[in-house]
Formats: sequence, C-alpha cells, structure tokens
Amino acid sequence: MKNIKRLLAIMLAMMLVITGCSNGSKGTETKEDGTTQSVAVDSSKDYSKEKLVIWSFTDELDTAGDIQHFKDMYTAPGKPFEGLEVEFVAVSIQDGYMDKILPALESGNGPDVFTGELDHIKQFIEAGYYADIESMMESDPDVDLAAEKADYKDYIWQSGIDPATGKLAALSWQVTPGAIFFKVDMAAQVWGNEPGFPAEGSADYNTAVTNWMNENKFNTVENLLLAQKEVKASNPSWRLFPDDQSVRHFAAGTNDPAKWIDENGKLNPAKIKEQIPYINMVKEMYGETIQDSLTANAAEWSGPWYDAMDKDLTDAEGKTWEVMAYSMPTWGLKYIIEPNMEKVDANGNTFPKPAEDADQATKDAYAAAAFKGNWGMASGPNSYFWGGTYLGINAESKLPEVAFGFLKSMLFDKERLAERQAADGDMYSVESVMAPVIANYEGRQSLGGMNHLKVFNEEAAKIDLSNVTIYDRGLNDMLGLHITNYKQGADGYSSVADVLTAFYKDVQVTYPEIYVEGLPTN
Amino acid sequence: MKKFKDKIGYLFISPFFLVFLLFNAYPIFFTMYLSMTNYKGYGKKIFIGADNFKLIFKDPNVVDAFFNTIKIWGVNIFFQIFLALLLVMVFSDIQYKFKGLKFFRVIFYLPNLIAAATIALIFMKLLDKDYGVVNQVLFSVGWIDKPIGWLTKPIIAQMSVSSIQTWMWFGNSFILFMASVQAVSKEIFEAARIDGAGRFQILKNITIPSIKPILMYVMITGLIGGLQLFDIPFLITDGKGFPAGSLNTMIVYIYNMAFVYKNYGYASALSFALFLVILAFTIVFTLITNGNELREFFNGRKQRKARKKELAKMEGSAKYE
Repeated sequence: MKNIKRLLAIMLAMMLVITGCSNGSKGTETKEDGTTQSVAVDSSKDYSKEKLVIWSFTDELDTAGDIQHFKDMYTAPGKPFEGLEVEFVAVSIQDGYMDKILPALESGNGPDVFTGELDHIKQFIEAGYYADIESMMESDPDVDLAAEKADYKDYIWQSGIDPATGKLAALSWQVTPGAIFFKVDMAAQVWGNEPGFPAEGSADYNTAVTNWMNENKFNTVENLLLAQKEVKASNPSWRLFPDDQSVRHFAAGTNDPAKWIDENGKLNPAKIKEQIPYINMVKEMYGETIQDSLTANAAEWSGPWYDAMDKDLTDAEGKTWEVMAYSMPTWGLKYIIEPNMEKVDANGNTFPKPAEDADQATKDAYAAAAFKGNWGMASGPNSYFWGGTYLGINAESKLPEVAFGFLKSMLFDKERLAERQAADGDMYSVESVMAPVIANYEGRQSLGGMNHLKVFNEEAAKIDLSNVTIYDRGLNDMLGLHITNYKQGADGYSSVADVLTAFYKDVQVTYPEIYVEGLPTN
Repeated sequence: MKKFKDKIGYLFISPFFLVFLLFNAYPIFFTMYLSMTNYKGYGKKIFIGADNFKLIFKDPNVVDAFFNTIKIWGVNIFFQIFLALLLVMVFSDIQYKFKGLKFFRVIFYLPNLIAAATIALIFMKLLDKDYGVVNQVLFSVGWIDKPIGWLTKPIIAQMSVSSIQTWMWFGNSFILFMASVQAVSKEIFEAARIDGAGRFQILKNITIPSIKPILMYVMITGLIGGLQLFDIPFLITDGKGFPAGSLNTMIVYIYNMAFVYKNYGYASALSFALFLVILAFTIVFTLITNGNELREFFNGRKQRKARKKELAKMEGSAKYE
C-alpha cells in the first residue's frame, strides 16, 4: 500500500512537472540578465497557503543565501509561487540529523527537499525516499539533461543514481576531494638535501616542493610510513602527522579500491586483503608515549590537534612537539587549517593570534594580515573525498513542482553557482563554473600561491564512488575499533589475524546478511 | 450521583495513564515489535521472529558490555553512597556543629547541574594522557616519570568514569540522605551521645535506619540509571567505547548498533533484553530490601481475605436462619 502511495506520488509529481497539469500553467520568472525561466505551476493550488519544507545537516543553504535566492526567484510578489512560505530546518549530524529525518520520512511527513552526505543518500535512495529528479529535468524545457550530465563531475552524478531505476535521485554542487596539507619549510629541513628537492626561493616553490613530495614521499602507503620515520629521525621532536586518523583515508592505498561488498552481496575478501598494509602501518605508528610514537598523539579535533597547526605543542612532561602535516578535504583548508595558520606582519614577523578579549583594531589587523604562506598541498597514496552535500526531493512531497524549482535555483542556475563559488571559494562539481575559475585563479596565498583548485580538480577526477555501499561507514567504523585495540595492545589482539577474527565476529552479529565463511585472516 | 462521584476519580488520574501509555508503554511494545524485525531504520520491517534474541546469546560483546556496565556502576554506587554517608555523618554530628549546610549542599550538588557534555569535555582535557592537566601536575611534583593513561588503560579508564559519576551524583545522594536525617529529632542523637554511643554506633543504629527508605530509593534509581549508563562513556570515547571496549556500556553498544550500524532490529532486541534485566534486578532488590514490609503486606492481605470470607460465611448462615 505504501509503495502504491509512493508510486502515485511520483506519478503525480511527474505529471505536474511534465504537463504543468491540465489545470496548471507555466509560470515565468525573470533573471537578472533579462532571460526568463519557466516553472510548472499547479493553478489549482493557492501557493500563498503552502509551505516548502527544507531540511539540511548544515545551515549552509541559509547562510550562503540559497533560500533567499529561491525566494527572490520564485516566491516574491509577481513570481510563480508568490506568497509561498519556506521553512528551513538545520540539524547537525552530531545532533542526530539522520535519527530525526528517517522517522519523519518513514511517517510520510518528511520535508519536501532534504540533503545528505554520500552514505546518507545511499540509504535514502535504497528506501525510496528520493524522487526521480532525472525525469523532472528531462521534462523541464529550461534544463538540458545531457548538457547537465556532461557538466557535472561524473563521480558526483553516478553516486546520486538510484540503482533500482537507473535514474538520478540526488545531486551535489560540491566536490570534496582531500589532500595532505603540509608545512613546506619543515619538509625542506627534513628532505632538503635529497636529490631533486627544489631550491628555496625558486619559482612556484610551494608547488615544486609539493610535486616532489607527491613523487617521493606520499605516493604509496609504504613511503608514507617511511616519511614519518624520516621526519622523526631528522628531528626527534617533529612528527609528520598529529595522529593516526590522518592516514585513515589511505587505507585502500589505490585509486581502484576493491568494494566492501562483492557481486554476491557478501563481504569481499579482496577488500580485507587491501586493508592489511594499512593495519600494519597504524600499528607501527602507535606508541604508548609520544617519544615512542610516529605521531604527536594529538587526537583529531582535540585542542592540541588544532594548536599544532601554528605552534609547538607542550606535553604534560613539558616537552615540545611540532607537527608537519594534516589530511583534510576542500572545506578543511578554508574552515579548519587557514584559521589556524601562522600569519605575518608587513616585516615578515609572526603576527600572534589575538586573544578573544583583544580590542577590535588588533583583531582587524590580524584578519587583514597575510599568511606566512609556508604550506603546500599534496596528494596521498590514493585520492579520497570527505563530506559533501547532496540535494534531493522527497518522493512523497505534495509540492514537487516547487521542490524542483528549488533544485533548479541551486543546481542548474549556473550564474548563481558562479556567484556562490566566487563568494565561498569552494570546489564545485560543475565544470562550466570551475573551468574559468581554475584558469584565471591567481593562487592561494596561504599555500604560497599554489593553484589548489587545479589540484583538487585533478584529485576529484580520480575518485570513483560507484562502489560505495550502505555498509561502508559501518564496516570501516567496526574495523577501526579492532585496529585501535590492536595498536594499543589490548588483550586478545596480538596479530592482524586477531583483528580480522574479531571483526568477522562483529560482522556476523551486526550484518549477518553479508557474512560468509572462509574470509582471509592474513 | 454517588456512582458519578466514584468515577470522577478516574478522570483525575487519567492524565498520568495517558502520558504513561503514550510515552512509556507504547515505546516498550513498539521496541518489542521492532526486536522481531530486521528493520534498518528505514524501508521495510521484515518479521524474523526470535532471531535477534537468539543472536544475543552468540554475541560476545553483550556479555562484555554488561559487565563493563556493572563494574563502572558498582564502583560508582559504592563510593557515591559511602561519600554521601560520610558527609551525612559529619554534618549531622551534634558535636561538630557544622555551619553552612546550605552552602555545602549547593557546592556538593553543583556537578549534577553541569551538562554531561561539558563534564565529558572537561575531564577529557584533564585526563588526557599526553597533554592533560592531571598528568602535568603529577609530573611537576615528581610523582610520575611516565604519563598515566587515565582514559587509555581499560581498568583505569573504567575507574576514571566511575569517579566522574561519583563526583556527579554524590551531592544528590547527600541532599536526600540529609533531608531524611533532619527529619529525625535531635534529641534522639543527643540521648544516644549521652548514653555513650560512638559515631559509628549512631550511624548504624540511628542514621541508617532513619534514611533506609531513601537509601533504598537511591540504590534502586542508581541501579536503573547505572545499567543505562551512557552519556559520559559515550562522550569521552566519541561513542567508540575505548580503550579495548572497556567503556562500551550496554547503552553505548545499543546506541551504536541502532544509530551507527543501522541494525534497529537487533538494537531493539538488546534494549528489550536490558529492560527485562533491569526489571529482574529491581524485583530482586525490592524483595531483599523490603522483605519485612512485603511480608507484612501479604500477611495483612491474607488476613483481610480470611476475614471477608468469615464475614460472608456469617452473613450466609444468618440468611438461612
């Protein structure tokens, strides 16, 4: 019955969008350049009494002005959905976004438009909560489906496809590939005498050092481990990474990773084998004390983890430690690393970060000061992504034409996307938006003028997400628990075989449907 | 009219039952229903009978999580009550004549008012092995030459969490105990003192008997709360239950099973099993601690029934006469 209702809702949505309804009409809205876009309007509805509900796990749609843009285009006086109310609800993942939205969708009272990260949308798609937006695009005279498909990054497009229908169900305007951000001056002190290491002061120095690091130190899991040892050997108080979470993105070690689930729907032995070098690396990185460790034992997101970006860490014993590199995606540079990077005054001297109670003039001077520009951005042993916001329409929405209008205003209005990109400087998944930006980019001052967008763009091209399943996050988390037990030397964990045996026991309990006998233990 | 008056009472008590049915009974029965499905938090709920319950007996994590919970709770409740009683002994001692009880009540109760998230954050910073303040102080006074893994060694981590729980809750127990003791006439304490009773004799023979109902209340609510221990272990370990799963309590395990691994069916079975365990513990505990009262209650009931029977018999024989 529920499926029939859902089917009817989808058909109704399709009919509304395709035909504009027998009692409907096409509304038009005029863009700033004078061109017009038409939207399907159901004339049987009094939009001033309707409400479009949008849920997201960040407040970005509000703060970046997307909601306001939609209102200006569609709900303002004289616009197709005049008077329509827009309700935006932001619930962070930490506050239980999924725990709140799933029951709402299950009860049929879910929002009209809702966002999700990649593993969230996999669940939404499997449960049939997302409507087929590809057919809506196909029927809309303003949207050229083939052109949009070519314009969006392939991995973004593919990851939003519903395998049951082969149609697009969710799409993201962002790409979030990751990189290893490292301090170039520290790298020069460690490896500066090695053959081919760029001479200081040469043109595009940060880019040249980054290229050298890519080719010699960060290109394989083995070299990444070796690089950590070399940093420690070069200076006993230096560490390459703050903690071992920095290398979790490189567990596959290849850009062609095996799937967690094989073609029979069972746990894939090849994926298990792929994890073994990573497990060994984490074990070798761990030390009971920082002296024994290859990392600074500064847990991800902890105070010392942030502090190490621009200053020496002082441990409980009073010893100081310095960290060279962090693994972060696109958003990490802008929101995490740059706010903690070292800044310099006009004379090149360090500009200390003002205290919270400092006067406004000092704060303004600090905000205006230049970065030291001593960071580079390298690729790891494999490309990876972290985060990203996908948009989709509720299959049971009573306002599918309005919801699609919102998607159009966000995803297919390229002028708006270009403006948005210029404002936030993020990596977008739309080629027509990013190509001119990358070509004309002057470089990131914090990275010594590196064209980081070009690097991210290249990294994004290497990502293949077609193999991601709903089990990935759970299996990675579960294996991570046993790897931690192993590295800390917990009872019963003396070898990789112990890690895998314990992992299989958990899989048997948690996901019995994917467990199979005879999985490898070494 | 009398009948209406009799029934109006039901109207007054109905709000409680409505709230109870909606927010207590319904979730329990719905959890029971989910426990017999393979529900993933979305999509279809396929009925799989008792499979999830059978799985509990094969799952080694359940036993570990249960004993972790008992260990953390046991140490916590012991020290919580011990500390509260110690303070009650001091503050109720007529010889000490302690001033400022109101002030100390507030001070002791303060940790209970701080949000668990804040407490977790504070203790994570204090107890961090490599960068924490506690180890820093211990190093500076020369008491240690190697950092102590307050949250990275299984037993120490469990004891750390127990201590945090004790710190959070002893003030609550103290206030309850103190209120009970203050209801006892001072003359009794004075008489005992004049008769030569020592502090521990007074504690054993006057203080504890006078707070026994409250003590039972604290023990039972402590047991129920303890078996549902969640916030501090979860927040301190980011839900992972480190080190070596020693802070993986029953509720942390259930939470992860449902909301991280998306196995709502099995998580519901675990929740229902925990509900039964808590129920059993509570019954046993009540029987042990309130044996006399229960015996009196059942004896009284028996006597009333017998009396009723006797009366009915007398009425019957009077009719025939």
